[in-house]
Amino acid sequence: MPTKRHFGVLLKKYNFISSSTADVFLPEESWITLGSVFRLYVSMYRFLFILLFNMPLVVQAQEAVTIVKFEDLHKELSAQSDSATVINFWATWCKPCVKELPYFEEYHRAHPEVRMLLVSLDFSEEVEKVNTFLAKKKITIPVVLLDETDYNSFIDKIEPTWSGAIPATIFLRGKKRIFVEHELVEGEIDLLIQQLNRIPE
Amino acid sequence: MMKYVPVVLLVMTLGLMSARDVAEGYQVGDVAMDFSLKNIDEGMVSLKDYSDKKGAIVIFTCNHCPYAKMYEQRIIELDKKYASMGYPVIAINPNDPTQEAEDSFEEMQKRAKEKGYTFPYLVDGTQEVAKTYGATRTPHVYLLKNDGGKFTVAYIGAIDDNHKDAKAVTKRYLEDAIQQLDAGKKVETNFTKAIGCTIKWK
Repeated sequence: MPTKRHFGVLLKKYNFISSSTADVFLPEESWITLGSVFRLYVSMYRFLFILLFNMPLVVQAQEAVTIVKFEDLHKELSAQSDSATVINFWATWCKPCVKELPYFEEYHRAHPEVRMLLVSLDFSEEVEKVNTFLAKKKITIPVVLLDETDYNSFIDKIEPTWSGAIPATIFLRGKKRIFVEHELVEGEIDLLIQQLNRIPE
Repeated sequence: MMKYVPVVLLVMTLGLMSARDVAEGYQVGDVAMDFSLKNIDEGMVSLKDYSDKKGAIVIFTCNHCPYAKMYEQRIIELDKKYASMGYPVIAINPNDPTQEAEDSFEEMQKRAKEKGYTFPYLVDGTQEVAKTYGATRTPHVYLLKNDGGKFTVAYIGAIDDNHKDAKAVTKRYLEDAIQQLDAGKKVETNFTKAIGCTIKWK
């Protein structure tokens, strides 16, 4: 929080200088001067307002969930990146998934350099339920909903050792890969990322 | 020293958990263990009670899981169709009811009554059967073949390829396996995967 507060002070300072100097020195009559003082206050409050209501937006709000097919997801999975990527398979009705979700969100906010994707296996007819859930839980990680039926045709393509039970999470970095099929405990994401980084190239 | 305790515990938990990640349990061709599990009518059910049948359709399922719910009606129909052919359904609930109240014995009795289950619905209280079979999710099917009193695994996996809509199914994995088994043919697709709810382990 201290950084945000510091940023706010700078903004106010900037506003004070930029909008007031011109105003204060232009008018010759006192009522205009009063007006400019008034305007100064308004602009200060405006900035305060912007500061209060826009600061939370620094952490981006969740956009509506996109419904995808397996092919779209496969592209995402095979896109090789130098940064670590975490892909979690979950659903709103899956209790262990919902339990571990805050750990992902926490990690995502603390480590924006790690790409994260939540793949919802909720039913596409209930996408609104997923949107409401994500808003309520304040999830900012990008979410897609995988709308498929013949799971057997693609589970192996996602991960050969995956039985199909959720939650399941893939940690990727280039060709390095860790797969887990269980509910993660607090601190485990961090450990798994470290483990991923330790895998020899 | 004490500050390392949580870390050590975490590492130990990870060790236990990853042990479970390794594919254990039965593979096609293995002989399935017998069990004696409590049915919703309070009686005990064993595989040996089925020694006069050609086989059995063992399904790990439960009350609470949305996928299990979507397959409830299809499981009832499977029993109606295949019990008379010598392949009756045996449903087993492996979930820890302290984690899912909807999967308690009383709730199982209620659901079976409501839906009119024509097959046993057993409680795997110790979860030993699910662990030995290698079940990971609900529903998870094991088609067993009676080889002169020994039950061998003939098919493991999903019921079909469309959980959402029974009418839109194009691949009837389990039914194809039963029919091939019954015709004395090789089961072509003897292992499939599906998304399901994790078994709630104790």
